[in-house]
Amino acid sequence: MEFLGFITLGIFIVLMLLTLFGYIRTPVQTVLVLSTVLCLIVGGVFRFVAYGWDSVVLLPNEFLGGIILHPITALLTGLFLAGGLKASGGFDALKAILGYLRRSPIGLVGTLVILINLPVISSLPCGRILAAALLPLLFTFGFEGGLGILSKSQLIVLIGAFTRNSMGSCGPSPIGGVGQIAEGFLGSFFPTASDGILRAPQAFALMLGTAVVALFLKFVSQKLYPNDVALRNAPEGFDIGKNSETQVKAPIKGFIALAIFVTSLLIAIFQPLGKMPVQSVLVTGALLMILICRIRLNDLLEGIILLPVTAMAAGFLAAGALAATGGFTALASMLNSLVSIKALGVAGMLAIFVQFQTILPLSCARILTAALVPTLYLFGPAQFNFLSWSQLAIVMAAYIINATTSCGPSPLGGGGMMGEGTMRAETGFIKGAYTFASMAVMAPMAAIFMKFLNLSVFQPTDPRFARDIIMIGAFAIAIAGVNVFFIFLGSKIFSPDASKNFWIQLVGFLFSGAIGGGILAFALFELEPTKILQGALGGIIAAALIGLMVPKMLSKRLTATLSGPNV
Amino acid sequence: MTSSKLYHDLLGLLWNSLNLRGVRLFLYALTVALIFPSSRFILAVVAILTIGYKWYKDYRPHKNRNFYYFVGFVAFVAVGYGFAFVNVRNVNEGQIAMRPLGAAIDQVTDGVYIGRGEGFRGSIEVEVEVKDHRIKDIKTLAYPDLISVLDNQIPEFKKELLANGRLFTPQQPKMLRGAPETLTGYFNAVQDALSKGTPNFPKYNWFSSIFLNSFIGQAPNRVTLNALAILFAVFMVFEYTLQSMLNPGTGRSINCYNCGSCVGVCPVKEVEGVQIPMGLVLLTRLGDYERVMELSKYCVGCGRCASKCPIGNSGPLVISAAFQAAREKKGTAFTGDKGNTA
Repeated sequence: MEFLGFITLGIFIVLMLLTLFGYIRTPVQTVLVLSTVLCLIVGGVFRFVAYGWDSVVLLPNEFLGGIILHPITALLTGLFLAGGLKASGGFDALKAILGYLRRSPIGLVGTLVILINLPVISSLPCGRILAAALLPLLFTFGFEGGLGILSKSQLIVLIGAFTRNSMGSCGPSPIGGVGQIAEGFLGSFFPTASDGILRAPQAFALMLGTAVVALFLKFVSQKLYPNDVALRNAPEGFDIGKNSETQVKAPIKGFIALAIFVTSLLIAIFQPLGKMPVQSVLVTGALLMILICRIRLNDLLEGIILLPVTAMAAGFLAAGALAATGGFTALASMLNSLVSIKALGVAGMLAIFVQFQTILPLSCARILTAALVPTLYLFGPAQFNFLSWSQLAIVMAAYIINATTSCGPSPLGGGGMMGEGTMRAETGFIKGAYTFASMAVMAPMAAIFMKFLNLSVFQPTDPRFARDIIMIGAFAIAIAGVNVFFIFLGSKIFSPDASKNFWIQLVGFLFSGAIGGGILAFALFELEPTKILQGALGGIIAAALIGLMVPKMLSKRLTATLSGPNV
Repeated sequence: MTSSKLYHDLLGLLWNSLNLRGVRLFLYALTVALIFPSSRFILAVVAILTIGYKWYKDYRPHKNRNFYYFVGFVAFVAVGYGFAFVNVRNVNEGQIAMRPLGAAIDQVTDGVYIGRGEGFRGSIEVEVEVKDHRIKDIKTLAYPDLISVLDNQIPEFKKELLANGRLFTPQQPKMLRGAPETLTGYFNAVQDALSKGTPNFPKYNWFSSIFLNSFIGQAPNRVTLNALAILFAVFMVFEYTLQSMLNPGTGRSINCYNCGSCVGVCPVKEVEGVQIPMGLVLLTRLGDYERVMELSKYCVGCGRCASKCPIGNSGPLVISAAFQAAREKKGTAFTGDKGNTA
């Protein structure tokens, strides 16, 4: 049976890698279904030979058992609500509110900071919803967009940071977010895990990571790829930032839709009317929008983004097929053998594991999350006993934030491409910034947050609570500080030679990876020097794999065509 | 009309009907109502409200008599509901008085009776034998909850029923998920069986039975609402996917990742609030071919989007297929070159 597991795991990984590197150019869902079918055929043949027909008959039930309906349907209903919000002018209302904020004492900068963090504030089930609605607005802030409030460089930072925040906001979303998959597994020990045990660590890490992305884009990416963004700079003499204020007007039904949306979200999260499924609340909200805001059923349909829905369903199918054919057991025993390498140990293996989806970024995080969360779960008391339940929750937090942000740098139609499209950049422009922040900032920060807040004392009157909050603050400053220092240092020593810059960047990745791995090990095993060193080594290995996949230079095809005589 | 032509036309009619989203939605709702009794009341209310709104919009401004037909239908439903409501209330009151609980077992004549009750995962069916006004034996004929619920309460409850020889309300277990529903379902099944052995046990009249089964089924509860919400979401996605499969060439739109990389390279980028070409591909997926037709004139057909798309979707190809579908929908034959339409 173990042999079969290695075969099916091999099929899955090979197909995923072929898709990622562009050898299979078909939607990733199709590849996942193909992987499922192949695994089931191989599994069926193997079982027939080894155990007879009765064992084969059990196979479909075993693999269908891998499907978790709740996040899929919650995501769908969340998308309906977003569709209704868009059709009834809710996003225009949001823009109008941002316009008021801009004229308020917080000014333009404060408004932009809120705007960048709006995805994590609203936590929609897919970052693409808000990105599709607001990226065109962000573009207007530049010279080409008409307002001319921001320069080209500033616009790159704004768009990149906003997209980073969007493509990760699906993690803490309480309405079908990716984090819910892991919360479901943690629920087998923590009774209230499904109420959002992973939400706060993810949101906090995402906010901090977004800020680091902004700096990376400003000081590293624009120096590494100076000619790969086709946005135009304002002509000389154009006074950036002195442009007249434009007022965005929104229909009244847009504000009503926004109110319905926020109310539905609050009811879904806090359940003030008694326990009720998220889906019921969101569908009721969507139907209310139809009745009150006079939108059509088609408008709700317009909100559907098929990719995350089908990716999650296909991911569950593939995961179910792997589980039924022993693929996860094979993966777990492979990782188990990594543990037996003394230099790595459990801490080193986990430092690599939490970065898995950043190493292999697919167009939707749900695909691999559905497959890998059960494996991670096996490391806990459920099977291998490498980790206690609390340690499992810490690793889950680090893994999930890394996973949810992986659609950002994915070249397979990941959400980050929306940002690249808006800033007219080559594919891969944002990859370095996004992967660096996920690896070096978000994963360790989520682990620390989980350890010192969610799993610790939660009584503000308790003195230990203040101590834990200070610990989180200290770690946040240290993690952000060190990585910002690397970013500044890199920007100072970059040269016009792209090849040399690539290696400089890689060294930065390795250092940050080591620190990230060490912090993860500290969060898990506290002050055990061996474990911390093992974690650091694991972090270096993961960082090397991530850093080597950041493009050395980007194609100039797009730039050439957009600025050439053909346009 | 010859029979072959009628046959041909009938198929054509069916096919054309299936191409209408409204007809498909009606079929989904009908399927759900047929197999899911407790959803009927909610679906009936939604159907009446929807039809009422449509008819009001279409016929009321023109004072068409069709509007009054609808008013008549609603009046019939309202009167029928009132009639059934009164009947059901009276019968229920009568049943409470004669319910074979406790001492009322004396009214049940000897015999073997089959009864049903709704458990956590479906209908529980039992066969109850009554002798000398005492429960002598209970056989469980159907018990779907067996697969999911730790149900040692049921044998315990059965043992007590046989020991006492009469029905009593069980103490509700609180710890196990689904256990209260299962136990209540079992209790209701035994009660239903015993009520069949009670002479002159009040029953609903035929009109109320038909009306209840047609429009209400079982009383809707939160589980029904949640199931309907999930079914609604699932059917909508099915519908969304099916739409583009029903029209040749538009199926490619399903592949779109919504990544927007095509928008970045498109020389047009945005028209009338729609991102080009991604927005047009998504409108095609939605089945809004008219809008695609309106906006397709902005596509310059350069094909840069196809070279940038991570899965090789071609915007102009999808747009031209939607254009063709719009023309066919309008009933005008389109003979031009597809490639030029976009």
